[in-house]
Amino acid sequence: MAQPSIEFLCACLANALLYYYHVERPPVPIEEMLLMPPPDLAGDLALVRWAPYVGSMYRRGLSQRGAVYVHPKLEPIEQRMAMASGLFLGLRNSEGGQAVGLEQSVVSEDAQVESELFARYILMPAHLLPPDWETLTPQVLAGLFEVPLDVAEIRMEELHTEIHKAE
Amino acid sequence: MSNLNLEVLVGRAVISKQFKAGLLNGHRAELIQEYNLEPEEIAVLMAIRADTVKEFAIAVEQFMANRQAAGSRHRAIWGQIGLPVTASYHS
Repeated sequence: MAQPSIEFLCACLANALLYYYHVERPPVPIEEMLLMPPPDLAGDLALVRWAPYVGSMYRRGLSQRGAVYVHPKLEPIEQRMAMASGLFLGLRNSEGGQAVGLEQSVVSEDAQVESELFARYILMPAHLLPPDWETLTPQVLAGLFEVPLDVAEIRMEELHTEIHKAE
Repeated sequence: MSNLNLEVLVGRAVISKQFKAGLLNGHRAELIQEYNLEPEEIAVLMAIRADTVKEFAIAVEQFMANRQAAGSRHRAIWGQIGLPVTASYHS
């Protein structure tokens, strides 16, 4: 059966959340999104600043409430990436995410590739880039959007590809 | 031409049960008024026959792909003969 592409779903979800939280400039308040999720996602998303190792994970507790667990010793920008990736896993597990086929659109076994794709989309959305972004260095954009440098580099490549595809 | 509004609309149908229900069950016209959509986009959205949000998403993605392809062809043809190229979509 046909599925929406993962790129399309990531763009839709990222932009819908940015719209919901009225985000008009970087940096994107990813922590706020987990602390105060939209009402229909309240059972799927929460933030716990603890993890059994210096990293992050998404789990459902005994109450079945889903939460992103982030180790507080992670660097702040790494925490933001971890929160955004965890947000994707919560969306994938939500009723709406399952209804739109998010689970079937994920091709990698552990969803890491897809969750990082979503994280780049929501932390560095195309419509929040400065008009002269193509003249800026990845370092400048990484600072502006509060993302790791390698994330900014990959996102810039993705955006260049999108622009050339549209031409 | 931006796909942003269409993406927001589909994403909202995923994160809001009420919005999804309205989009699929007869309140589509009033719900899409909130977005700054072009007449062609409104016509396409209103013509989508979908029982599920997945079917709706597939139809919107297909429209966006067709529009992009048509826009590329349009630019290629008009660009070759040296006439001004617009960003608009012509079906």
